[in-house]
Amino acid sequence: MIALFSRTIRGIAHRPLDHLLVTGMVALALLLLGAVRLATSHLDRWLSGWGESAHLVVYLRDDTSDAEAARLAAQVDQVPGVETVRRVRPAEAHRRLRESLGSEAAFLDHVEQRFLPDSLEVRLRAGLWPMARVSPMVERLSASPSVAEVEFAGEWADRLGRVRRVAGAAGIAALILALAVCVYVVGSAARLAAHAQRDEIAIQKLVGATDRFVRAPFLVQGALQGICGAALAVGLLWIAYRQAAPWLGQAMPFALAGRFVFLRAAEMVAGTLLATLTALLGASLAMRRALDA
Amino acid sequence: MIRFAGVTKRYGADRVALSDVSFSIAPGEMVLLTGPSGAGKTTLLRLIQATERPDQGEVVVAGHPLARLRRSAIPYLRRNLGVVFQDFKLLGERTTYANVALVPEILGMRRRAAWRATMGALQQVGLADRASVPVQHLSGGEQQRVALARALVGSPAILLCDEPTGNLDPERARGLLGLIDAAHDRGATVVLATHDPLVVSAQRKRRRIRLEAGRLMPEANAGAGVTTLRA
Repeated sequence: MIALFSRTIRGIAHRPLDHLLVTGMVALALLLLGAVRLATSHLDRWLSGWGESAHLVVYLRDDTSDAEAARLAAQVDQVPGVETVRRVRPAEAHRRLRESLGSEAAFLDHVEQRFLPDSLEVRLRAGLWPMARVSPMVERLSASPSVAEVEFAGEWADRLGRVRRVAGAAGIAALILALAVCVYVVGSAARLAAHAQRDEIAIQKLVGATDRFVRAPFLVQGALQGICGAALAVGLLWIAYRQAAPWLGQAMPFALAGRFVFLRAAEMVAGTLLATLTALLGASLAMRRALDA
Repeated sequence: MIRFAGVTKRYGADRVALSDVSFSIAPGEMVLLTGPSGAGKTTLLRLIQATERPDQGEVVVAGHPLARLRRSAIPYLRRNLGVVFQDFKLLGERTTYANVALVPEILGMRRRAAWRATMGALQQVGLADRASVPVQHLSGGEQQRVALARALVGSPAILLCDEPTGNLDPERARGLLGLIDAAHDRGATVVLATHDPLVVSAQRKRRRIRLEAGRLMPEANAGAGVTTLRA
């Protein structure tokens, strides 16, 4: 084991710049992956929180009968994604408005309750999909003769859904890119190193070295490049996060109440493990080809 | 221990390195492989190491027909061979110790045992005090002795020496031949390829296998036996 470690270090010392470059490229690829992961996890949290407070309000015309209002409420209640439907009469709307105005409630002293419309308050389940489900229903309700207006952020839901899908695709692309970089760059470095040490490898084989003996230090080097690249990526991402989080909190106070969190320990460990195994695979494939040649 | 049966080796279409060569070497025997430069001595040694494959015939080493040996088994065959290469095949930037210690490392010896074996081999060839010197700073004669130390360090069953005295003055050459004799006395089968008259004279009692232009020639041995000829 000590001998293997010593051969590995000697190999790294033989071409230190190559190893630094490979580690840097692996780190950059993983940094991109980590940044996309960080962005999508925050987007998920934000959208989920946004969905929790999502609701729509169906304002009824003044001449809508109780029976018609009940029929509309039952119709809405059956749509998937709808959690509750509640009728809010003008008196309750007036009371709520008064409460929400607090010390400014005196403005309502001269407003009659009947000026506030009768409405159906619809609360949706958390997340984006319920909003997408109710969008067609909103169009049908708007066309109903008993409905004066429907207040709903459906277009925003569609847009945010698209953003989430794009972010998800970017995450998969970043993952594929990171894995490809690990395999290709680490593999190329191993192939170059094996070429540079071809005389030594030839001598080792002449005196009885197996392919496994020859290959071992190159695999350890590849694994080290994966581990160091991942550690460097986490470090750089942490620095970037520390710089960006307060600025984002100020720029977007409405998003997640300005609360941002870094990657979880499990995500960092999984990323490092994935990078190490992929780098190992790259080095292994390259050495198999180099030794067969 | 080593048997060649009708072995022919060609390089390209018209260069015949060995032609229908047959002989055998018994376990523990020491033979001289003689002949002028280009006679096919190095090719014959390369066939024994399985770095070349014959175009015709069969090579058997330590009971293994090499043609039927799997690629993955070749390293284990080579661990039974100690080879002093004509061009030494040393790692110039590495120390004397590191060059010799490569074999114990490949054999999987523990660190302390590897150190003992390596220093023992370096002492045998008189280079223990040069252990930490990079090989490229040694003289040609010293490098030849490092090559011998590396060949001996694993206590191989077969020792192959390709022109081992090529860079040595007569006194050093006699010393090195003494080391090869000592390995033979410990039971190793030795094949000593040379065209050095000094070596041939010093080893005149040994059986000789003489090659000329790739063919096995009858050799009038002064001492123990005559080369087996099947050509």
